[in-house]
Amino acid sequence: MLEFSPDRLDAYLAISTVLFAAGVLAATTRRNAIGLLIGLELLLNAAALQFAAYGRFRASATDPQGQTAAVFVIVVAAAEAALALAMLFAVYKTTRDVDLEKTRELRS
Amino acid sequence: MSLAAATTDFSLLRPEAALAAGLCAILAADLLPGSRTRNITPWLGLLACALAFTFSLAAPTGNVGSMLAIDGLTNLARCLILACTAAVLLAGAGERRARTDQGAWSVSVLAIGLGALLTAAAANFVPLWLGLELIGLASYTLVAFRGGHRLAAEAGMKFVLFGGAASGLMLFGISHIFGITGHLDFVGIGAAVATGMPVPVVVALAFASIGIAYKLTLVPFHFYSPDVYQGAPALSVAVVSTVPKIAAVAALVRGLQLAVPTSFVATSAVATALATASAISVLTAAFLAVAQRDAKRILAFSGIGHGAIVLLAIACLPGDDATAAAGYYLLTYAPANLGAWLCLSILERDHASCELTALAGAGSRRPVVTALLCVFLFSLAGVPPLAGFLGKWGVLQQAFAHGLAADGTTALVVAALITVLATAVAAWSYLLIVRAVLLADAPPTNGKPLLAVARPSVVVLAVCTAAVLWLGLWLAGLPAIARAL
Repeated sequence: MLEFSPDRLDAYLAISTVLFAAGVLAATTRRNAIGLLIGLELLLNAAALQFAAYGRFRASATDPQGQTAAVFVIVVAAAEAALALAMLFAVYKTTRDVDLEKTRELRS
Repeated sequence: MSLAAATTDFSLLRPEAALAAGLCAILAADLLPGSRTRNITPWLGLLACALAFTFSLAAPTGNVGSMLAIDGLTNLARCLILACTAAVLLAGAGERRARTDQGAWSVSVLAIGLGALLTAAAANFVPLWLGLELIGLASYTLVAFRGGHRLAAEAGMKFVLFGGAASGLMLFGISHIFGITGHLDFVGIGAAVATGMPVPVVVALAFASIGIAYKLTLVPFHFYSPDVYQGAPALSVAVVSTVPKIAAVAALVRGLQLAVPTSFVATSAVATALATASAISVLTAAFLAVAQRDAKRILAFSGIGHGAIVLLAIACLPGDDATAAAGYYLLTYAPANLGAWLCLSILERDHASCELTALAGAGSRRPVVTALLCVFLFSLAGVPPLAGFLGKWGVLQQAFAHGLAADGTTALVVAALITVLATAVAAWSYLLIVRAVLLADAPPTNGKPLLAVARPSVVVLAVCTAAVLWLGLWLAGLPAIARAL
């Protein structure tokens, strides 16, 4: 039986697995580009949480590799979200919609 | 390794520093008023590339902490990446002259180059991921670089969403590798799994390689590329389809050399997995390419196929011969691919589209550009005596040698045979473009005089043609690269 407390790695891993699953679900089933973008952010946050958790529980305390990686992830995720929103805005300006099915013109 | 204890020789990073300085200079120059400074920005980028290229020639080797490894492979990849980046910047200086967004365009191209340098040198998952992200963010921008154009905007949106998903999956895999082994650097991971590869590590490594597979456009992470390339400006695709592939191959080779123990690489499991992935990709690409009706989509599938053939060379690891075959293949692929996309960019401007029906009459209107396009396409198809033939020959020779050896892997031989078959099918798809530009009846011209091809583009086309012809006759190329590694 799993016992969840802030002092156990399992708790963090469980949360990040749920985040990851939610992210994959959103990224694969959402037809709205904003929904897909939210799914992506969940994926990245799941990884960042996992880096920080593993960093605290597995690696030695003097070596903050995991925590450093988590900070990098947060920064890059912000840049990516900004760029993705700019792209969605560009699409919205030309088609007045961000539904991936309705805006689709590129096909063979 | 403790971050504080890592002694760092930053002089190893002179090429990267030169490129970063060039980026800052362009950003600053772009803020100055007047169109003259805007037109200067590609030349500033070119200067940075030239400087970085000079630094990369016979650069010293060593490690930068546990983060980056500067060795023969890095320097080889650096030279190729910088040459391709410089070629596209030069072409852009002519093709995009006097555009108001010239500065932003130059920054994006140079950022792809910088990200590729970082990726090619990465000996740790964090710089590897950062490099791939830098390439990604810059290429998303480049793909959408046709202001107000509906298809370009859609291409950019698809690219950023799928790229973000690939990056997220890769990161999730990396975080698990870190959790299981306690290391992020390739050497540490290799040491931690030296006695055996537990299944969770194999799964995590597979997740972590998704980012690389995305940049190499391997099946099933290829599906974005035809749509994205079709919507994007052809000149942007020239850099997006070439430079990231070089970086991804260098990173994959280094990852397999350092993070996966030799005992495990040498077993047929890794070779079989990579050869199978390569065979599936090359077959899918060849058969789908024949069904396309747009020159840009055909070249997109060609890129998928070429990425798969490089992967076949990597499946022959360990050994410098396999790395040299992959490097030589990229060396022959880069000028042909760059040249073909530059020709398409010129034709796209005339015909407003790259659909095969729209390209009719290109041969009579622009005979030289069309002839060069055909040369590049034949090289991509692997017709001797052009460069592409020797590249393919090198990879296939490696695959057969490793597959038919006493302890060889049968999958390599099968994949090599499939590659030969797929190459024949893919050649047909290139002929579709050749037929469209040369043989179709020309529609009546609308009377508008053709714009002359800009002088910098002429230089780039000449260099690419010379490279394709000369590399095709440079029989000592493969051993020369093996010596440089």
